[in-house]
Amino acid sequence: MEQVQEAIHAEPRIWPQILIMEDELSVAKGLELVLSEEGYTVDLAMTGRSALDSFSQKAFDLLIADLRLPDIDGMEVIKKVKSSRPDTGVIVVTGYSTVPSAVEAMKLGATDYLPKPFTDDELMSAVRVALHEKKVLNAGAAAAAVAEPPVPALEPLPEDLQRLQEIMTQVRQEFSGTRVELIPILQKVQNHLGFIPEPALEEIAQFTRMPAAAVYGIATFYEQFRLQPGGRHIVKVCRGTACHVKGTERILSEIETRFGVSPGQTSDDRMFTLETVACFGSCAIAPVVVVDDSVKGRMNPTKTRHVMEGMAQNHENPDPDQQ
Amino acid sequence: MNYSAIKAKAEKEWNWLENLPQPLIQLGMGTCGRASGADEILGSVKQTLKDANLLARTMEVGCIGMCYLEPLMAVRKPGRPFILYGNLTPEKTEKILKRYLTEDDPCVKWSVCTIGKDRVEGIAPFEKHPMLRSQVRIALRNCGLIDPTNIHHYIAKGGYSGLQRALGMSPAKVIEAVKASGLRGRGGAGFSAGLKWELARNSFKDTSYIICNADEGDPGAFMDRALLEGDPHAVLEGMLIGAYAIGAAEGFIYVRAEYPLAIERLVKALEDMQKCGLLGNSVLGSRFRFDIHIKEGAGAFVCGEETALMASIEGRRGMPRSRPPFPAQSGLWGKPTNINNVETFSNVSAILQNGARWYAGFGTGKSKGTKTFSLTGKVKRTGLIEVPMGIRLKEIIYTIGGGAPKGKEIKGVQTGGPSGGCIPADRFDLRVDYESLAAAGSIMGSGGMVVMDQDTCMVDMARYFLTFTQAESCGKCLPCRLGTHQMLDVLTDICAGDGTSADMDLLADLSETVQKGSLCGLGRTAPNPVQTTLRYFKDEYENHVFHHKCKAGVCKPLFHYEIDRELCNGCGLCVRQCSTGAISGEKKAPHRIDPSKCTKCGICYQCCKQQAVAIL
Repeated sequence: MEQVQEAIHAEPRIWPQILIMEDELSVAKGLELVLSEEGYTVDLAMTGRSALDSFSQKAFDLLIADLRLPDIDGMEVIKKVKSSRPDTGVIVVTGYSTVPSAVEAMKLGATDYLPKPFTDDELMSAVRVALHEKKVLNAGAAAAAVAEPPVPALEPLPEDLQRLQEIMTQVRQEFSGTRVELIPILQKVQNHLGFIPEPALEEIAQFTRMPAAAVYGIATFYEQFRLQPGGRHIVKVCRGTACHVKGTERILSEIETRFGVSPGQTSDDRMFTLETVACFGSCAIAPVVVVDDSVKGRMNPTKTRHVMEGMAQNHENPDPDQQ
Repeated sequence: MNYSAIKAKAEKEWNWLENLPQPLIQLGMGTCGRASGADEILGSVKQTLKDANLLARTMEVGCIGMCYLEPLMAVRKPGRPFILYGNLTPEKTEKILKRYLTEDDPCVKWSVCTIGKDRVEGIAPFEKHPMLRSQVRIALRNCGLIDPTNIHHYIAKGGYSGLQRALGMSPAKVIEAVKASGLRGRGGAGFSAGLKWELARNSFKDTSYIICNADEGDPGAFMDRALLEGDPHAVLEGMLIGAYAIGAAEGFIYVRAEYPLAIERLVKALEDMQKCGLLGNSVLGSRFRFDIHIKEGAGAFVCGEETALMASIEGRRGMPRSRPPFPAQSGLWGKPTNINNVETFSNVSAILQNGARWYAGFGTGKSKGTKTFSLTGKVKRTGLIEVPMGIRLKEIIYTIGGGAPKGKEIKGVQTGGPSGGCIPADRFDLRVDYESLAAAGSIMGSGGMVVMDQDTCMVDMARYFLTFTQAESCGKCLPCRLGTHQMLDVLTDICAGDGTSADMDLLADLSETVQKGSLCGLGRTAPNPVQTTLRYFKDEYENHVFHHKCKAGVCKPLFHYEIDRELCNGCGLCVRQCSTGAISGEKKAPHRIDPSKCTKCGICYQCCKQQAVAIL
């Protein structure tokens, strides 16, 4: 990861190139002023044809497109630009906003849809999101080029990232990339990988055409999602009422003193990740501890310790029969 | 396929099973059963049958509700009732099978009860068992008695006849029937199910949705899990009836990801329904079109709230919004949406199968029918129960639950999970219905019932629930986000012995603010555990604040353990259990605890057979 970031930072700093396609001169000039003040290089096109001409001559990072133009439909221009240069970011601005047109624009790959009038801040945040997504894309390519990085603790392993690519390929086949599918997609990645690494969030954001920040917001809202790799064994202690009454705290403090992990942490040897869960719904056999995916009822501190010690030992002296 | 053809096929299969010439062995394979070792028992059954060269069939069933006896097995010889055996170990299983199947010894001492028409000498029938005598099983009618993965079993037991009947009625008539039954939402709030459907039906324009809320997040509740694992079709049939009544063509089941077995059962059930023509473009050959999708939750308690649940289905952060508009007017993607709880749907299918008047015959004037509870905590018989509304709390706790184990004294019961309250033992005459529980400061809730004895500290209980609600608050409303945090801080101080008399007033004050200033049920009910413990167990708060004592032995800074020199017989059991070596003493002479080494883990207190370890 660090190397990826270095690779990005090491690039000579080139300001992104933006093309504004807008037939109203006053609006176009206004946009140009705001964007160039921020340091971007801005070109103007007053018609659809001239926009396409500009694209044939040079590569832009971002197209800000009005939909109503004197010659061709703005949507047509976006379609052509996206087919010839798929990594170009697109923001749609229009005075005649309708839901179907917004949906169509998003389907074509626009990152944002701004109905007029909009504030400078709204525009700038849309531009930043669009350009960030592009950078992420390129960073992905750069990451592929970087040779195996050393593995710091609790960073995804190279094989995790490799597996991620396989999983994402499956995801792209199974899902269509709509927002409704976001949580199921995150669940699929976690089920296969055990956690959701940062590149996964970025790729999912791109696939579902959502800002990466929004995907991150959702992944962190739900307790289930783990953004860091866990230990070899996930130990979940139930904190339900019945379990609490019957001594969850004692089990937790036993694990903490014996194995040095508190809830939410992974042990230094990466053997155990300790988590607590609100309730497993097995209250009649409380207290409950779930080790990996096996539910163990009527636990106590000693039993829990034995189960965990047993698992740790299995790794130290692997059973020849099982290998 | 039409209904009578499916029914004929199902009955044929069921009759075959009923008249099986070989013994039939049923194993409870719900999550509780598996966690208690049902898989090992299944292995032992198969091995025993193979070794002894016995011919018998095995069948996996859901949870029968007697979770305290898990793992459970029921054995039926041809022409006899089932005999239920509990607390099994692989060795015990082997002995029972060999003795009963080959020597015809029913092993009375290990038996629990018989299930079925005939009797077996010396064994009480199912209905007479103290845990079941006061129960009326409607929602749970098939749980533990049929194979949940076999749709034919459900149909043979009268399943989908309610749907068949509904399809012959107009949607308005179906809604009438549900209204007439008096069924109220079993998710907790208790709104009339029929009325809710009517609202959704009246808002119908082009599309509407129906959702089954199986996001059972209340800690201490597992009714919905057991129902989905043990009889998924009862719920799905109710959902189909609801969809027909409100005009929905698409439905969602929002189920917790923590319930993998329930999800597995649902997936299988939906496949079978598809095959039987119970889903798709023409349900049972009618013009009613319906499909169901399963949505897995992702571990956010607040998603049990209906508007948050819908946000989560739409792929957003599960945060509640203000109502109106109610989901019945504008729900999922802005369309009219009806949300009912798992148990509500299971009752709906029973109502359409047996009639509204039959259903209204159970319960009280305002609370009709039955309610399932997960009875847990400090009672002898923990498990899943279903009782008629209006039953008294004491009957549930002492008759069904059997009172506290180890001769301890019951202090109170907590109903309704983190949204509910604690009711003290001296008010156990209270009737269990929506109004009476609310008057006592608690709520019916989804059905968690956690019994507490003298070893439970009520201040710690309040702190525990606040820890939960504070962590699960979505953060949208400030009074809930910060209020619960402040309340938790105050309670943590009290439990640490740093409480002051002003703290109790502050708690009462904050409770009111959080209650009034929050948008959804989570915040509005979060103070309930604090308010009820302040109301009924004020002496415990005072003991913590003024005397720095936690008599229950829970709040570590406020007590210590001492060995009673009179009672201790020097057996040395506690010495071996103590992990810090804090206990010392000669064999057969009174022991003592070194307070500097003691971590107050309580293991000595629990293991001492003489009850010589005292909390001071």
